[in-house]
Parts: sequence; C-alpha cells; structure tokens
Amino acid sequence: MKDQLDEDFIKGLVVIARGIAKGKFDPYELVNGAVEYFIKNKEKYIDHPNLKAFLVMKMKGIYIDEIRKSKKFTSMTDEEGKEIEVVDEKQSDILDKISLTFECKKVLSVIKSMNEKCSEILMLAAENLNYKEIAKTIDIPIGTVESRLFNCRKELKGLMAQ
Amino acid sequence: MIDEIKIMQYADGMLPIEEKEEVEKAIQDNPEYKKLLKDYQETGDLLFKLGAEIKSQPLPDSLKEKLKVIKSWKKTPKETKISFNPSFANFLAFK
Repeated sequence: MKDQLDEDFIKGLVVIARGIAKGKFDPYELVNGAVEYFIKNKEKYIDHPNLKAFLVMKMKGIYIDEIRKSKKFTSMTDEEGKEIEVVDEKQSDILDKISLTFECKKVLSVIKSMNEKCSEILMLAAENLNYKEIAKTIDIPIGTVESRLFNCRKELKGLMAQ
Repeated sequence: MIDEIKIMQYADGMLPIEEKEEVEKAIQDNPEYKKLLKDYQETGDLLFKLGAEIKSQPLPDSLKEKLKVIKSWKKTPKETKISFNPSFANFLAFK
C-alpha cells in the first residue's frame, strides 16, 4: 500500500466526507461504504498510487447513488401533454452525530449551505491538505484549486460575518 | 498591483520563496491587501480548527472493525517482502 491507511487517514476521510454529504447523508456511511469497497477489492486497489483520491471518488459515487435513491420521482404532464419528471426536493437533513464547539458548528453549517464545489474544497482544506494534494485528490489543475479556494474562502468569510 | 491569490498563498505559507519579498512589500503598502491577508489567515485558522475537531471524534465501531481488517493484511506472510541477500547469491554462484 502506497498510502498509510491508518486511523488518521480514515479520520481525514471523515472530514472530506462532510464536504461531500453536505448534511444530506451520514458522512460516516460514505466512509464506511468506500472502505468496504476497498476491502472487498483489495487485490485490485492495494497498490493504487493515490488511495485517498480513489476513496474520495468512491465516496462521491456512493453519495450520488444514495441521493438518487432517496429522491421521489412523480410523473406529471406539461402543457403539451408530454410526461415530465418532477423531483421532490424534500430530503431529511441528517444531523451531525458529533459535538463541536459553537464556532466550528457555525463554520460547518455555513460550509454545508455553500455550493458543492465550495463545500468539497473547503473540507479538503480543513483536512489540512495543501494545494497540490487537493489537486491530486480531486483531479483538477492546481491553478483551479487556488482560484476556487480563493473565491470560496472569500464567500465563507462573508457568510460567517452575517 | 499583485494577483490577490498570492496573498492567500502567502497566508497559507504556500507562496514561492522568490515572490515573498514582493508580496510582503505590497501588503505593507496597501491597507486592502492587509485586510485580505487577515481574512485569509482567519479562514485558514477556522478550517484548521474544524478539521482538528472533527478528527478528534472517535471513529464508530464499524470503521474501527474495518481498520482492524486492513491492519491484519500487513501481518500476512504473502505480503512480507523478502530482502535480496547478495551473500547467499554469491554462495549459489560459486556452488
């Protein structure tokens, strides 16, 4: 194994999972699902050059699948009589099962309210990854990481001040 | 005028050393840059604290069990690397 898959590594995934789940899904379940997949496919992925990036991708996949499953689709017709799909946006906001200080609770709640790109990159930064590591983990150019972090942190600061 | 992203890089300790002097001077001369630096230092601290607090929480039993499984892999003889012993190779060559 190239990456040291220890307790600290898993806890880092939990931090990143919070940026993916955005309160709509239990972050521990995302980590559980990704690690379980890795264990089941040990032979295939044990020497993966970037295990963190692989597991983050897996968590995103699980999240998308779960959100699709939880959405209720109802059939409606438009003005021309064609069938259209309507998504019921009612989703239960899963409360975080951890106790945080007031300040961190507020930061987390603000991050959850931001768009997906921002919540993802801010939680990757919260995991203490540097720009290069973030770029490798979510497979985007380092310049994009910098500009995205710049804008999202500016937005975070503004929202925290409200 | 400097690229404002450089101020974030400076706040995060990620600015290339050759650009440090120019950025430090620009920050000193411009109150807007000073404010921006303070803002990025603050958001950096907040994110660091948030990550540390989440990481300080114990893992649920389900994840602890999975970690045990992963740790047990290291102990399997299949994955133990046998180091090449040149003296043994010499012994074979001369036999």
